[in-house]
Amino acid sequence: MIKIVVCLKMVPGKLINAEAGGLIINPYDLFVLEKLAELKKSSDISVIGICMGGESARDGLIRSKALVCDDIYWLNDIKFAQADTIATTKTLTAAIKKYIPDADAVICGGHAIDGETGQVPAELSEKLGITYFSSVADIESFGNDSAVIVRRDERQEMTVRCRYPFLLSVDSFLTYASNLNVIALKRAQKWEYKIISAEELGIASTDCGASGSKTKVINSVNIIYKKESIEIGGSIKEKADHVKKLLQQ
Amino acid sequence: MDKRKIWVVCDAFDHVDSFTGQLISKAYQLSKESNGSVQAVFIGNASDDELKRCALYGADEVVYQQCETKDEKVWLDILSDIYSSIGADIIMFTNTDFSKTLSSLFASRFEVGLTADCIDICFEEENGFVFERAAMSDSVQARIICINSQCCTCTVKKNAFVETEINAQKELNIRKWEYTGSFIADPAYEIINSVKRVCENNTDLDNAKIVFGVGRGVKDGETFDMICQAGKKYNAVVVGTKCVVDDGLLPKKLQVGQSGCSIAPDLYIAFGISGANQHLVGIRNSRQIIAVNNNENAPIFNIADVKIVADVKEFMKEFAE
Repeated sequence: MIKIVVCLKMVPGKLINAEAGGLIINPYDLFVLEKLAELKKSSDISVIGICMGGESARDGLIRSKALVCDDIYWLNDIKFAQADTIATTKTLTAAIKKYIPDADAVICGGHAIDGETGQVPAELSEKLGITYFSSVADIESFGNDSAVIVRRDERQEMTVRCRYPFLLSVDSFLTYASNLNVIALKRAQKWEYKIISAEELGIASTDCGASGSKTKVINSVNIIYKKESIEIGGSIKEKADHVKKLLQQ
Repeated sequence: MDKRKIWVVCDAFDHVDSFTGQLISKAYQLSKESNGSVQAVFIGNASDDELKRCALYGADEVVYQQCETKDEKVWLDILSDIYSSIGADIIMFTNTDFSKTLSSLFASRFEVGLTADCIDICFEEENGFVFERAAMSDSVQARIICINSQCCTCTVKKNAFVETEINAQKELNIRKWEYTGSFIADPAYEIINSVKRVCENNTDLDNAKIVFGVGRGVKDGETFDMICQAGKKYNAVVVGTKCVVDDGLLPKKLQVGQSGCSIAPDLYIAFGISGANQHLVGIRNSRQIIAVNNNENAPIFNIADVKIVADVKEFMKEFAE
């Protein structure tokens, strides 16, 4: 059986839908879960979710479990809070090395729509010491010693066979999970989610969360300066004519 | 005190491209503010004459390692070798896919702070190097410093800085590095099939004089088509906000904003763009901004020179006439 670890991040739902509250599964991670749910029907894989997040991540974890995850490690401790990418990477590395040291593949969404740094996948591959594949558009199949993936950038699209173990950074996303069914969701709600603390993980508090971070936000400023604008009134035609005139200058 | 070492990692392989020029120009400015020296780290295959071009933008030294392959892992080992030997206080990378990966691998290996897609960097006595980037779910810029970190690293957005040739004639030292490790990329994969992608859009966004921006307020294909038609007529490039690109109306490379590109045209016309900070940081260097939006309180009007309150569809019907 091929063991696959999926890194999951929960992000504010309002980033997708202005009216939504709470946290949802990062759309890039959701694509990975959906893809694995499809592939699981025809291949012998086990999917293990790993997520760093507080209580508000629970709903997303239930959905992840219902979709495809056989097991989930929930790294939930206030000591993990406010982590930058380096601290996040160290925490995820500690968890993968402790609980899933024999993982064949680690798969991450290319970036999270709230942070948008896209740094964690490559950082994690370096710490785990496994091959890194970026710009993954699709995952085609999992074989015994390798998987077939599609990588895409501006210039080309390549179908590649890559040997385990490796880490993928996936650039496709989904905002809606079509493989999610109600019965699975009900079952997932009753499942007992293992909460892992920093102590249990065996990570020093100076290696995770804010104290393990190498960057810090000192303050925020507004660098968008307000301008004095001229409002153009009149009929729609007058407004359009005004812009046409400006364009001709 | 020794001079602060400001590195720029050049990733164009065989020449000094404009993006690298932008980084060296900024590094030169930072060197003056922080009492530093600018070192361009060039891995690849370039002539001495080409390397000397780094001095035009203010580099003091080029550390050059000849390398025939452009592979992130090979470059990481070379960069690690140079860094371990001579050290750096700040390392600036471009934010191309290649350098984003390279910088992440590097930051992870040395456990140093890395800020993604900076739009500004400054030096302050109190804080050291400060990196600015958009705070995603906020209408402000986050100012970020590195802590408990041997050096600061960052990737920089294209066009965040202006490529500027310095007036002074600078003495440039070219230091040829002799890396003794392996140059062979790890063959952990085989290519089954490779297809060149046809570039549907050859638009030169960097040099566009007029740009039309499309936002969520453009609700139907008909309005979008009218904007594209008008774009052709006025020789304007049509770009979009993040949500428009996510919806598939425009390709990713025509996304303008923090997670897309930054532009600086003479004239920018925003159609149905509300003006999220995410987008505004990408257009703030435009010389003139005209905004068309039906909500008179839309934040886009705060930075517009010309404000037009109108329904985009109705406006386009007249405008396309």
